[in-house]
Amino acid sequence: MEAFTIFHKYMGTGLILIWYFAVVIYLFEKEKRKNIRILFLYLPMLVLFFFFNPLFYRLYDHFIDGATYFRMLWLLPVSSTLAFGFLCMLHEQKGRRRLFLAGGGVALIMLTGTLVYSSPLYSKADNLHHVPWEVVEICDEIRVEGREVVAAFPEEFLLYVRQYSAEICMPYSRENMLENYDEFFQFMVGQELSVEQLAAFAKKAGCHYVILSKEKKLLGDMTAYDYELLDQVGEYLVFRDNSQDFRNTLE
Amino acid sequence: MAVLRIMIMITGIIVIPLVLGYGFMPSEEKEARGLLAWNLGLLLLWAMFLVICLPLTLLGKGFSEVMVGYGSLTGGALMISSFRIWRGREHSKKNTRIKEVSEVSGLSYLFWGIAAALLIIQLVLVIYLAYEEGDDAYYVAIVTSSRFSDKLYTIYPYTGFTTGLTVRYAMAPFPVWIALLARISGLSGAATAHVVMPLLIIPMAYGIYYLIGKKLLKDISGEKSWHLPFYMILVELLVIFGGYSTYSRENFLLVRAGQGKAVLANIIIPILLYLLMLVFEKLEAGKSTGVLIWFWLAVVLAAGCLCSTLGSFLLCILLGLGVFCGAIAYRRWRLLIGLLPCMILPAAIVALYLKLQG
Repeated sequence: MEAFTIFHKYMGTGLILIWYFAVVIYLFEKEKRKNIRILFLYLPMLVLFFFFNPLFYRLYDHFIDGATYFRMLWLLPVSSTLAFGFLCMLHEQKGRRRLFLAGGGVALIMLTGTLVYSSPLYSKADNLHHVPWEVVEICDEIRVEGREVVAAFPEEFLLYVRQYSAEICMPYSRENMLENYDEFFQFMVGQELSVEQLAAFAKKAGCHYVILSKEKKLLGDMTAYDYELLDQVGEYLVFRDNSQDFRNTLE
Repeated sequence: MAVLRIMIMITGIIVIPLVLGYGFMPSEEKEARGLLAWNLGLLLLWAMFLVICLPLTLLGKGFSEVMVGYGSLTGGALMISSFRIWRGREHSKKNTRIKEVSEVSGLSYLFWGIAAALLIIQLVLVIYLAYEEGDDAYYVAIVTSSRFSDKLYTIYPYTGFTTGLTVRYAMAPFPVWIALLARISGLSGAATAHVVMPLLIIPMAYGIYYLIGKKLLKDISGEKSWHLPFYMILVELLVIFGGYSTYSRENFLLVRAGQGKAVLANIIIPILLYLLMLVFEKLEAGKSTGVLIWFWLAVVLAAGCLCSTLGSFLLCILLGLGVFCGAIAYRRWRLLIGLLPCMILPAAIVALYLKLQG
């Protein structure tokens, strides 16, 4: 049953895989070249036979990882088979019928597929690094020559900090957003932050810097705990912990 | 200086692969040789990188040692390849043929124009649009930390703190190859993974679609026909409208081109299929497959292992099933013997992975 669920997820919202199977059936009838039949018809059927085999799934799940089982479906040459089958259909037609069929095929792909760029996860890139500009500015500002520093960033920047700079370490990470519970991270996602608690968490984690959104309400005075407001970058405040060691470890 | 470094990187991903590919060309076909040579050359570069990087990583060596080893191996391969090209030219001078000039129809020009425009749009969007991809927090961080710290897979990418060797990811060191490009070009790891890699991988993937399309449409399409460019338009539309599922390989091509798994799905698996087409074509013509094609199949499998640990397993399945079908269909059982040397490296990697995972 797992294989069917995974297959259903792979199919997603569109009908592209349905068209693929329709074209495979059509090519079973029309395509006579043995090498093409083997690689584009028999081989995908064998792959699907293994894919839907519960015993195979269990072995895969045991030895590899059931979460990646959908990748078996990458072995199906969907796009090239669909395009080829459709061209074979077109080739059989003449004149206006061919023109209408060609237009219909293009329209079918566009209507039953989903434009990749329509994903809400796409946004205009701030820079060539494809990292939010605030992350770039903050990382460049808190970098210390010859050593790594630890900085506690807001949740929205966790994906990007280490992509941009290897010199900035973080006390918590994306992993803590997804599964592993981390007390410091859970504290940081709150709207109202007790400065006493914040300082305790940050100092325990060895954070040289704490970056906070201006929208957070701070309960207490940061300077009372050796913090200095270094800068404001966009909507974010960068605090430096002067009690930490900032010496160049390479000297 | 920055421009010079970027030029060196471009040479490394265009000129060097071309020389390597031409030197060991598995097909006698006269068309699209440059495209095939470039694709195969890059795959050879990846396979050689795996052979150097994996053992050095497991031995606890650093990024600079990998660069030295890889540079030496690439230099050696370039010398052998250049020698083979020189010998081949000597041979071809004696057998010079006049190339037939064919006409290309207006419709074909129009379709090629549309296909090229679609490709350019995708490449421009690679630069101007950013995709929030969670896994990049891991893979791109490996690129950035390998480039910066010289340590390989002993830094936890999410946080930056030192950890033990992460075997599962170290078995497929594709991010380290990206780090190498970043080190050569002087660009940041993030820019290399998010921009340079898609600009390399997307045209490469369409190049393979083109090669496959040429073979598929051989019977219904002449040189001046509109079939092949229309096929390319359809394939590009299928990729651009492949967002119907986050799992589809078309979706991976556009949103995760800097990750090894996208390369596995969109480069390695299709080119393996293409090489199998070459094998079966030779069998159908009653010719011997020759050693070179098996060499390239082994190279593709090794390159697949660089991209993804799981790649070794998937490629073994595809190649095994493909060759098995061919052996039955053409009654050429000796094909199964050719399979064995190709599978040694991926099988060893799978075995090592299972052993180290416990």
